[in-house]
Amino acid sequence: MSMSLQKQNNSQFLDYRDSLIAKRLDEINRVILVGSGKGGVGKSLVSSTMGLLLSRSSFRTGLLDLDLHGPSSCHILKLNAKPAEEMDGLVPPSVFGLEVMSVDLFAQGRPLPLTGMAKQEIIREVLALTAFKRLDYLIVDLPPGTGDELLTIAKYTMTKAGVIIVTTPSKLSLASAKRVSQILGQLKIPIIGFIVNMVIGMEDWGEAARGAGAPLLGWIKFDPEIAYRLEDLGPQDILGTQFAANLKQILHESGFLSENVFKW
Amino acid sequence: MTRVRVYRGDQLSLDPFLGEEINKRINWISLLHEYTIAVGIIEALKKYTAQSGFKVRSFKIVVGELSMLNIDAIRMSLDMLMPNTDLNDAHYYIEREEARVGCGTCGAVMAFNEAVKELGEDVLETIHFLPEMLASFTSCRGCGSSDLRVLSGRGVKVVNVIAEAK
Repeated sequence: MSMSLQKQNNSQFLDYRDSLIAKRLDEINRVILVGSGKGGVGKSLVSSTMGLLLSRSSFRTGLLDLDLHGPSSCHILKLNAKPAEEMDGLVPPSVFGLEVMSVDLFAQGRPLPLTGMAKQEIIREVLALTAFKRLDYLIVDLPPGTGDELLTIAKYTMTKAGVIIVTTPSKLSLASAKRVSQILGQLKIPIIGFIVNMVIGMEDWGEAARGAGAPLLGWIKFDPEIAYRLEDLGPQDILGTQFAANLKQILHESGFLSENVFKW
Repeated sequence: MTRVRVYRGDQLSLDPFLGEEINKRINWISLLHEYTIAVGIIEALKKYTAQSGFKVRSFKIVVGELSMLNIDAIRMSLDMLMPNTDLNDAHYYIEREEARVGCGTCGAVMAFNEAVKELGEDVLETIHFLPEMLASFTSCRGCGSSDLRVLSGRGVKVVNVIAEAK
């Protein structure tokens, strides 16, 4: 007699995307989540430029823009090619070797109204379908705060992800960054450190940044070329700015550009 | 890798689950997305088998109408992949789930054909991959709001997994 039926799994469903996501993440060495407490601190520019710098330093790098309501990576990188569909999934377009995936490649600048659950669905779908090549680094550009986007991506990448929090020197921005740092700590999501952007003078922000509960990785001087001419700058121009030079120094001092670190 | 596209009418039959009008407009249906999904379904069931120690006897796949996936292509991909796995003698059923799209502003509910009315091929392809992006391209027929929420029929689910001890 054949074996009796011993188990029936009627009540729950298997999400095929979880298995695909796990397989894809196996091919990624380290995930850097770039977040902030407030908007307008230059987080997307830090993410995109970081991606370009790592890629130019011969690290295999991908950039995933999860700022679903305000994706700007494609705008910054002047990228509008749609992902190509291949046997392994959607192959993201690249710029200077940096592979970029964003909902804006599909939405092409249109707004995208989404509730929390819909955001989670889109993020799962994008993670499951995007066929990045084997990567040393995946940079994830997040919206401000600690909403669905951060929580969803952190759930999948917890073992290999760390968060860089971008802030400006303003007291308001530093206080928001500190709050994000506290929440991340409670959720046991590793924090790499803070980057203070748009610094004009040293004033009195240094002490506040150092007391914000995570390492201060470095600071980036206010760069008028970036602030007022970004529309006219292509990826090559961005790499030539003072902003990129400051960020490269931070990446170097934080060990991200070390030859033998995190490489496949 | 060669980019392969399989068009309706060439190698795959018209999908009876979609209306004739939609079938005419969707000539871009590709086997590739369906294949990726089939790989994911098999990986998910293999993981379930490994974790539970049970052997899968049967399962059901629910395909949301909004994903516009070709059921023949999913079936072809599964039939190609399953014989080389622990699922080699498992049975499966595929069922289409009707799409319902609700308006968050006025509460109206649209069926699939109404929701995708007047959308071009490129947009349909985007929705095929990311159903929630419908809200970027269309609005409520009743009040014009773009606060559209997918209530049902969005993607693929594996349900009713029946397994027995090995």
